[in-house]
Amino acid sequence: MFRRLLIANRGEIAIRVARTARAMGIHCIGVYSEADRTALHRTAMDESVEIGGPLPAQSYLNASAMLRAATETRADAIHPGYGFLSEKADFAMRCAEAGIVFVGPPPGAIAVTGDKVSARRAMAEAGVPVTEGVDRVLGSVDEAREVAAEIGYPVLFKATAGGGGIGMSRVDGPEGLAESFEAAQSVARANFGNPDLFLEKYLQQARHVEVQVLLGDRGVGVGFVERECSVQRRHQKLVEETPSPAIGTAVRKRLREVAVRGLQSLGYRNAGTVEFLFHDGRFTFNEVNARLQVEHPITEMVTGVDLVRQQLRVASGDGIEVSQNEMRWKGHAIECRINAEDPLRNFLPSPGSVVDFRAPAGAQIRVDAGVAAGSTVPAFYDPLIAKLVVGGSSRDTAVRRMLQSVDAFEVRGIHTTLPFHRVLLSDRDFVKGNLWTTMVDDLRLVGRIRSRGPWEQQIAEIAAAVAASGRLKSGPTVDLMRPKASAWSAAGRRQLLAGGDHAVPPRRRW
Amino acid sequence: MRFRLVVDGEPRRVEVEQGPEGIVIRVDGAEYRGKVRRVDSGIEVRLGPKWRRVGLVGRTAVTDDGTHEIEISEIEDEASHSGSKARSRSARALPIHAPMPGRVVRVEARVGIQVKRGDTLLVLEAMKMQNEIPAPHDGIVKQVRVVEGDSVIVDQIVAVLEAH
Repeated sequence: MFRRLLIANRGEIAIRVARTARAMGIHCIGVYSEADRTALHRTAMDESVEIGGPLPAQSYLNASAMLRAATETRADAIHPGYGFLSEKADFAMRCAEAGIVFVGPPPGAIAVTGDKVSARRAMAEAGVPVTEGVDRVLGSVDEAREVAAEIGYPVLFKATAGGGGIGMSRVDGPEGLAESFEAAQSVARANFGNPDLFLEKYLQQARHVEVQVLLGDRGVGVGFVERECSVQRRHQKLVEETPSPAIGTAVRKRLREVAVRGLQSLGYRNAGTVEFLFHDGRFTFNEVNARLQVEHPITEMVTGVDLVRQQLRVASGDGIEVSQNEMRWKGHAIECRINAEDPLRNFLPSPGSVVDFRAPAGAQIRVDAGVAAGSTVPAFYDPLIAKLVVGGSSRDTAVRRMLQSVDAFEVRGIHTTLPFHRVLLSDRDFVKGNLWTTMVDDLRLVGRIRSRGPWEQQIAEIAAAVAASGRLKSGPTVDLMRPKASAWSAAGRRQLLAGGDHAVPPRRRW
Repeated sequence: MRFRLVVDGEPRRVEVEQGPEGIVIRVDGAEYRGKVRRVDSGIEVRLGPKWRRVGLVGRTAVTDDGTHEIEISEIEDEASHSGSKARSRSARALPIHAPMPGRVVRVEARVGIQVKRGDTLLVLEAMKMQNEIPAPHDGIVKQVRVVEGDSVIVDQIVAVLEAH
């Protein structure tokens, strides 16, 4: 096993990886940007080094700075987490050249899965059903029009270099095709430096299901019970669960076998996920995520397998500890992504200071957080601040437990997606397990969010009183040599003020 | 009336309109309707089902469940603007604030151009998302205070419109 591991990431995932690695007796080295000097993930490490400026390209995406940090701290392996350098074949290659183990798939497998056309082709060759579409880059609008007419509208343009839901564009008929083609090309060029597009049939009211795969030496490994991630907004996942409420035993087994076979055919090793669309009882290949995924904890909760531990074991040559025959899963697990975004204002990013942060706790409740009270959420990185994961013996139990946990979760100082989750978890379709990828828009869930809760109403009451009191005429409040209350002192003050009859601070429900 | 209010370290942008039906208040875009009345011990506000008392003493607001430290800044009073002589013409300067910190990736507004409500003035990147900042009103762009690549802080004035 490795002795020294550099964790090339930030936030909750850096902390999550360090938790397992440190429990395995591995010395953890963290990295941080200038904007993250006081970030929580540094406290989860044995040591940490500054690698560059606040922009991702200067720090967490800077392969040279990352390798320099790894060399200087004598790391023998690098865990990339998700995002940033996790799916850069070039980075994996450079790690190997520097004699450092990259905890992930081999560079060749990353390269194939990173190009969506080649991934599609490879999967089809391995017998994985693919969505109707083309296996080549479209050369022109005319070619696109021809293919679309053959397949039938609606169709979906996809960027070959795309990922994370960026660079997709739906076309409903021939009249909008030319415009969409050009728009999708420019988005692809801007985001991935490559304008190449291909095209697939657009599946309406489809579900997103995916299979976590873990492959060890010689490609022997396991496929896990599927996850369903249909609750999305702008192709970004918001809620995930396992197993899928729509999939029965027979399909489950086939999904798993197909996913494992698909990755084996690529010479894949370590953890990876094969995503599918599930539509009319059929599933077709969507894409491969060649990394540990955000939603991996729900799989851990129903199977008891620590995926990060298995990743480290595969990478160090110690081998996987589970086999397909022994693999069991129990109950149901759900994850809600808590993002620093304001669902009342069309998910406007809400970076800032976390004044208070109280996460729920209890049996079958897991919170992977990247912030605490007093943390700053910088505007430079993705908005995920915490993952709330709950389990239950059945889906109903898990949904109920999630609703209670969302109620008990309190984040102050920034706006979060918690009010969205509260509405979703009470929605009739969601409760019945009737999920599809455009349900957030189709059901206008965001429009149903009435309030951010009682604390926000209290702020509104104070604001109304300020406005009505004539207080505004005397101008802004001014600081006269008075130090600003820090988040810590404010938190302490609230603790004091919240005292009285309560053994624990009262929690506001909303 | 608009102002910025910080309660216990949490910043909020507030808009208040007094109507014959009562008060309409928006806190970071979340709208509340209700009534306000003065009583001996301060002010009572009803936004939900109940009247709640709010006392204001210096930089402290006292509510039923405790005291809260408040800060008030950036007060813009449209009612007094339109009443004053200097602004008796219909045009008024409307500052455009950055709704969140971020990086300016594109500036579409040019000084002197006419914009319609909803037109994109600039694009601000924050948290891996590009956010279009729209004109809140029809008008003419009077000032553009940022260029591409600038970092802005929340509430920073990025442009000024002459609204009409």
